[in-house]
Amino acid sequence: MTNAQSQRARSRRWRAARSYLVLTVLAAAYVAPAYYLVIGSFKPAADVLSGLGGFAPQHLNLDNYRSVFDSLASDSTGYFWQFMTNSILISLAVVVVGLVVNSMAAYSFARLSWRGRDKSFLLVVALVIVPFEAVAIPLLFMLNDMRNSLLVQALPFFANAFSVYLFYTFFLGLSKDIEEAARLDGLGSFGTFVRIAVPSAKPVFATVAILTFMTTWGQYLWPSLVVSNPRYRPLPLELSVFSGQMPVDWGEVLAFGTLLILPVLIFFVAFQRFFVQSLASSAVKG
Amino acid sequence: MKHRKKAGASVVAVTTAALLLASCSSGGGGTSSAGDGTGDVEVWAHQGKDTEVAALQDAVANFNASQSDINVKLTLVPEADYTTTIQSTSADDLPDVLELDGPTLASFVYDAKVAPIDSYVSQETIDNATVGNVNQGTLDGTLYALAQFNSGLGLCANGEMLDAAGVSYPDSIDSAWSADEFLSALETLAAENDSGYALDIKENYGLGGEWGTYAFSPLLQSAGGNLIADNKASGVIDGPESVAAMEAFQSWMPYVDPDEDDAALVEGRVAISWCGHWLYPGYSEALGDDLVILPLPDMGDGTKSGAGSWTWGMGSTTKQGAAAGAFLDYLLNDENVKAMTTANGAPPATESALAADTLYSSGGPLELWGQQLGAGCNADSITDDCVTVLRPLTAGYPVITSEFASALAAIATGDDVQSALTGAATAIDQSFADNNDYE
Repeated sequence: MTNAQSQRARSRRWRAARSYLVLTVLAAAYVAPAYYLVIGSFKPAADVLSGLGGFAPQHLNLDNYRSVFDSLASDSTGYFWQFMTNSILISLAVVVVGLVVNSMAAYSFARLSWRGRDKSFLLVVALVIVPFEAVAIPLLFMLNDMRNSLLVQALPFFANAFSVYLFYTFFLGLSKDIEEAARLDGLGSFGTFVRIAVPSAKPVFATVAILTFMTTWGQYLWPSLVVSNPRYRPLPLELSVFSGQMPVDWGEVLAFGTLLILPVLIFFVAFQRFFVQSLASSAVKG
Repeated sequence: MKHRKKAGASVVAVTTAALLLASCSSGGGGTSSAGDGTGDVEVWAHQGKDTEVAALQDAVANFNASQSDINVKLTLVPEADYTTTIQSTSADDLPDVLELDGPTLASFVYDAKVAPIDSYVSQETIDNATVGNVNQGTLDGTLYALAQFNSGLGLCANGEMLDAAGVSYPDSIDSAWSADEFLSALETLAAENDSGYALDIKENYGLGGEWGTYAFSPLLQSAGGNLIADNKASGVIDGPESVAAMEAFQSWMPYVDPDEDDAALVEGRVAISWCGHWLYPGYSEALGDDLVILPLPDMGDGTKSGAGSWTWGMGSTTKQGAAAGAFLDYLLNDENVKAMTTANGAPPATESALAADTLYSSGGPLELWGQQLGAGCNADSITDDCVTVLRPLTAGYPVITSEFASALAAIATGDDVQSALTGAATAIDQSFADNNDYE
């Protein structure tokens, strides 16, 4: 090996080492809060906020989890598993109905010809920039009679402009040849959508499902306005049982936080393969 | 960070707007009726400490077991969301009996969400309530709420550390530290302590929240100022007396421990803690006989302190007034008041329970707070003798507390006192002008 080759090899190794260092620091920055959340959930409150000592895995026990379950275990407070079930039902309803409604709307915008289609699509796209907070008040009045139900927590979120946009961009990129062949074989618009477009769109369905589930799971403002009965409260509202009192028991807050993110984590892991596929295909498309 | 603040602010703004509009839409009011004194009674309360929850659940279970005519159904809502939940619920959907945070009562009367209770609760119960309790629940001469307990506020200090530093301290309401004496004590104590701190003002509770108003607006009143007078904040909250009080407060900040772990006093990082009654059990256990209870500093017009807490009212559209009244009579009897105040350490808000209390009555370790509560008054009628001042009984209180607490938080971080208070005064006056003085 010549001197020049040896220098180039050293330089490559050095560059690789620097890259790994930067990536390691970035990865640590992302992982550290999650680690702190989980490890803190097993520690006494006094040990949680002890500077860098908060990261040390010491004095671990299940007391915080016991406290969380004990605090939410009566008819008057409601039950932890009841809140969890409510959140799962609401989130799944929004995901399932949302996938059906938004994908069909997007297919209509992308593939069907009807008067006012483009203007309607522009209107839908414009809705992406309207924050939920801006429509919360009118919604509160429109749906006030449905207070204290699971439906009122899901209904405003079925139709989602951003989901429509994601589906729309995907359907636009689908080859028209297969769809035309299907039509020649006698399939109508709905049949083509169900048998041709949907099976091809698994990655975007997964992406929309994950994004919708995560957003719905974390809803706080809307349920806090429309739900008072413990029977219908979703899990995130109960966080304030532990964080809303002074002094805050940070161990309990972190235990509740850990329990709160578990279903999201499971959902993400279940669909991540499609999610990554979707991201990769988007990246390729540029 | 800025983005987050904006997002947080927008959520708060929307919630507030929604609640205001929901309040306006509630309408109604004054449609309560006694019923036949039997049947289901729906009750809402805040989900506070586990011990408080247990005391209330026991009271409900015992009441239901004690008779067969009335069945109380209790619903607990997390404390942080409780007031919002009532605000966003229309009057027709509110329960027969509901717990209310004392300072918010006037706004619920304004929204026609609560009913007068004097025709449903027994006269014996009303007569047994402390004066401060009745004052907190009375608006324009009508009784809307009665509480099981009140609150105590003062300074909790480590007497051994004060003695070691050679700092003499007050032993009665009349001998409260002056503002200068308090500052001098802080300087001495901070110099003696390795932490460099002397005072804990419970910054970890958030000065920008209700704690800020409850704990520090008495300083304004002690200096001769106030939050509001005759529905006007300008010239009052930002008047020279109030400004002087807040300048003194700002001068203490270099000696304040941020107290992120809520343990500054028990760990000896400070010698003095701005202290509510709920802290007493923990402090007492940690410091034992070294714990001393002191009045808040006297800013010129005598020491003043905060008062008021959760109280019980009735929904304005209840059709179960008689049954609800019977439940409130039961809730406010000695047994249940004692159970609740044992659970949360608060001073009882009934005369008989207060007289029997071993903490707050004469000779008890919290006698000073008991004496303070015995000298209470409303914010619009403060006298020299008055010590505990209720927060203003006006439907505009939410804006008053929000603006004052925000100004306080800004002052604590070094903002100009006059500008911060004038900003608060302008916002409060604007809100009152926009809402016809909340009359």
